[in-house]
Amino acid sequence: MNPLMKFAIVMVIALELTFIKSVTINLIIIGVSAFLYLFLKLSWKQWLWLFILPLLPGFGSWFSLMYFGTGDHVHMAWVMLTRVFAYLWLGGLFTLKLTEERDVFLATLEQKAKLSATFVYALVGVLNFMPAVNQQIKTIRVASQMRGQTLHIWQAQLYFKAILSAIRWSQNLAEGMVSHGFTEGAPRTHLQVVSIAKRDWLILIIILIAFQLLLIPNWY
Amino acid sequence: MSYVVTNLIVEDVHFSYPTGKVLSHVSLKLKPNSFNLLVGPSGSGKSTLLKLLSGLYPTFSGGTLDGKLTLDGYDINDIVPFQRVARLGYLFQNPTRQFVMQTPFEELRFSLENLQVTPTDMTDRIEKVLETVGMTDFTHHDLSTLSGGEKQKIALAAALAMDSEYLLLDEPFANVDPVARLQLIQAIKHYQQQGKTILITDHDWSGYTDMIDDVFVMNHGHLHQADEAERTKILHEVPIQTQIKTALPNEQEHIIELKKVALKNGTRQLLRNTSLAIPKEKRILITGPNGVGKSTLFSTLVKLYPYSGLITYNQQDIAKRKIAQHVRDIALVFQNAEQQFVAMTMAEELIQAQQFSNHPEIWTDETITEILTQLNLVDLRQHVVYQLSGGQQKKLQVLLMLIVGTPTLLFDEPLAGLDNDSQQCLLNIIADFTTRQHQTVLVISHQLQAVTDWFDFHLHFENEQLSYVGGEV
Ligand SMILES: Nc1ncnc2c1ncn2[C@@H]1O[C@H](COP(=O)(O)OP(=O)(O)OP(=O)(O)O)[C@@H](O)[C@H]1O
Ligand SMILES: [Mg+2]
Repeated sequence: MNPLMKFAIVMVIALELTFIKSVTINLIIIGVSAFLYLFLKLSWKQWLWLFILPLLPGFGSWFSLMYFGTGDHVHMAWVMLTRVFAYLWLGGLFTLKLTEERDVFLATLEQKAKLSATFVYALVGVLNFMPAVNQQIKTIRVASQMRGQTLHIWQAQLYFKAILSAIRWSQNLAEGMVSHGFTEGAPRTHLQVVSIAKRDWLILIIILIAFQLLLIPNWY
Repeated sequence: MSYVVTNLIVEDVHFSYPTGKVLSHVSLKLKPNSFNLLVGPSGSGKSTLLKLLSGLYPTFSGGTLDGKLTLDGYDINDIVPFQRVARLGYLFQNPTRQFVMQTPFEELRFSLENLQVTPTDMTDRIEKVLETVGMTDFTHHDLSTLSGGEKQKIALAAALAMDSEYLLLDEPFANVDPVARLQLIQAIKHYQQQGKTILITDHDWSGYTDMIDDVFVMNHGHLHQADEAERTKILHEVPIQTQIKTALPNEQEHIIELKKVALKNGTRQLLRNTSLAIPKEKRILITGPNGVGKSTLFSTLVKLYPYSGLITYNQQDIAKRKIAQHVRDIALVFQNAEQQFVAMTMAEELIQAQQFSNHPEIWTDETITEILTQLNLVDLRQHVVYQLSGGQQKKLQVLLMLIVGTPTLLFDEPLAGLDNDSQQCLLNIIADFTTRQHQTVLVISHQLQAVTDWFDFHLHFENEQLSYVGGEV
């Protein structure tokens, strides 16, 4: 399925979840996500993240509502706990496969969502830069150690250098794009023309309608 | 053959950076379908001129331009990028600077899409041009994991793929090994035969002397075309490939020892089961083709890269040494000079290095000024280090690391992109101070002509093996 379509479904459902105070619906979302994850062949590390990441915010709000809340607070505590899990598991459906589907996603943004190519390629640049940041900070530290100076992670000079290199990197990116003929607002051709299959639209509509129907009964 | 002749005119061009004037009264005329060489000492303004021609400057420089710079009657800066690069291709001096995408394929695709090439032609064109530079195997590799020379090949491929009528190349072979160099020269020659005009800056034109039509000389921002006599003289200046004379090391005191060491890059084996020792207070040359793992070996020695086996420094297992302590004993002079800098201006860099020097008695203010004068850097003290020319950065970087005076120094291509005089001067300075400071010196270099007698020993890295060569043959 096209990642932009996935993104749309996830966003719409996530938005609705914000207004729905139902533990059952949240659990259904979690259950369906978990079911889909079975097909995505996650690594055990990714599973671990899926369980650990929601724990802190989830139980944080659960505890505070349980012990300090008033009114319908017991119900709300459970809603909050399950909601955090639902959000993250739902979001994971989109993000966990994003590294593989990144190019298609960005191409869809450019070609179908008609976002400006400048924006999309700036985004590409940033995404390419992210993994380099860690390496960059490491290099900066070692470079200063070789010069006899140890920069600790709490020292401003380290970040000053890191920010400087980020600025230089963004200048280089702009210069590089122009030297490759990138022109703001000019038409471009596309090697990979993205088309959104009819089936994708159908799935989108079915899922969203099904979800609305699910909301009709008065769940706990 | 019929092709459109675009007319590039450069007349009485002046250019200043905020820090000062670098080009005066520059005029240039390139004959259609010619091969032109631009020479001149480091910092004379060659890269600046090329960037102006490519249309990237003054936009990206903060400098001011005066004079006439036109392409078919239009001001170069008024032409939109995709139309401009269709006629004027440009290769940066430092290839890492120009990549936008993650893999060679995407990088080339991005350019071709900008030029609005028909999608059905694209894949073909990309494959062909990667083949010309011998990088087919790397089509989908991550650019950030490629070696310096490999990056240079990809950057050249990107420039060739755009199929522009003029091709501006800023030291395209600086980090390329001698074999690949010949291959790239062939690729460029082939490109010219399709009716293109080429302008190349270089400090070493061996291997393509006979292809050169006109020679232009840049000196302190003044440009002139060499007349027949000067042209002949310059073209004969090519350094002759001499045999490097080194001996094989015999029993002596060792500083570094490798025992059954292996290195890998992802799934690719770089070094297999190697045991050898590096003698103390000697100068050792390391050679080998692009991408064989020379820089990786250096990273390993400073604990920046994983390995298997045992490496000792001064009889201590380096795995057990703290990195901060370790790199005070053995430091890397990076291939990319900018990584070495820790401050903003040259003056600040020098003060920092002096402050942490292991031999402050040697590095007095007078000595530093004297060395800066020899390296032609003395007037640049207030310059921001990132705004120095490629060669100036290299010279400053080496000087800084000499001042720090780390017992073992690993130089990664210290001579790349330097003119002959600068190379000789830098080698003398390195020899002088490393001897006085009792340092061990390891150097990766492709610039062999400059170094005939300079080294004590020679290690060659090829086919996953690293071994000493030399001795009486
Ligand atoms: N962005 C900049 N801002 C200010 N000064 C600069 C900038 N770039 C270069 N310079 C200065 O302009 C002069 C010419 O630099 P340029 O890079 O054109 O030299 P070059 O001839 O290409 O040298 P090399 O052979 O070392 O590459 C140098 O003195 C350099 O310090
Ligand atoms: Mg230059």
